[in-house]
Amino acid sequence: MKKIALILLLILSMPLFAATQLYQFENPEQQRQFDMLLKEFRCVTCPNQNIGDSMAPVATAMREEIYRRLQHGESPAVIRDYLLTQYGDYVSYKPIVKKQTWGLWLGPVIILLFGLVFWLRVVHRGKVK
Amino acid sequence: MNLLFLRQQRSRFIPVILFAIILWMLYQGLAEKHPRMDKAKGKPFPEFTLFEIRKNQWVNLQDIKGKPQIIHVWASWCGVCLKEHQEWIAIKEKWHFPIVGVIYRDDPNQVLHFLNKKDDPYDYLLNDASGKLGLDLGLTGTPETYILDANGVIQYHHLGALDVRTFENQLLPYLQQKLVEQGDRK
Repeated sequence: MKKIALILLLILSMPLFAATQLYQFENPEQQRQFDMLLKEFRCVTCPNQNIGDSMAPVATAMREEIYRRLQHGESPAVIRDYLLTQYGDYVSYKPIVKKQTWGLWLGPVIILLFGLVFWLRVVHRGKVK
Repeated sequence: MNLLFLRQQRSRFIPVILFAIILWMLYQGLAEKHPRMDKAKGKPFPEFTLFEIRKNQWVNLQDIKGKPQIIHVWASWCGVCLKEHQEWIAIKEKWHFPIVGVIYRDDPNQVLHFLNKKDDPYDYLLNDASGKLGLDLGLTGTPETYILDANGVIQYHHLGALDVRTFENQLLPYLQQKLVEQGDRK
């Protein structure tokens, strides 16, 4: 069972491995930054994939652009800013916490709190009965 | 129903209010236009220098500024673009507006082969080989169409295939108005 799980894990990680294999990096830190950025951004053609997994032309162009900018010494923050400026918050799997994304970040917490309060009241009512 | 009753029963309304909030959030996220579509209008078209594959020369934004332009981003590997091509032939034949074609991460030979077979409506055919112009535009795929004013500012942006009817209803009024203002028509 463990062997099957390991094989499956290797197969599922192959797309990202294939993407990064095409690029040569000056140092491990640059590769780490590249991998991090690929996982952070959504493919705008196939939104359920990140740009590391997607073979869509726009995702490929994004990967190449990220690689080119890292080679030119740009920081991940600058590259991130560039992509967010062109595509907006929706392209990032980690949108910045700001007024426009409060609903996204706080929504689940608020709903959870409501659910908890509601459940406690139901339990309390049940005990009273 | 009086206020006292409402006060006593207020906890029953909490799930309803919560459900209404969730529905509103879903509406905000799903029913509204793609946020990027609204971002394009009013922005200057990105500077570019791309190779014109038929004239074998470099063309930049300054070369096409000065009058309203239609810029159509497409690719020969894109099935929707190939299907849409006849619409652009018809648009060109009917209204004769100059059309700047930008081929996106494509093989120029394949593009020329296609255009030789299916007619060529483009006044310029620029090669965005690396896709950099596409990134600067925030392109999500092909085809996409932009209308620029004489100053190179995006006035209209269409995602996906365009047909003659949509062109006539949505793009043509703007183009005709601008051309009347300029007192110029090709």
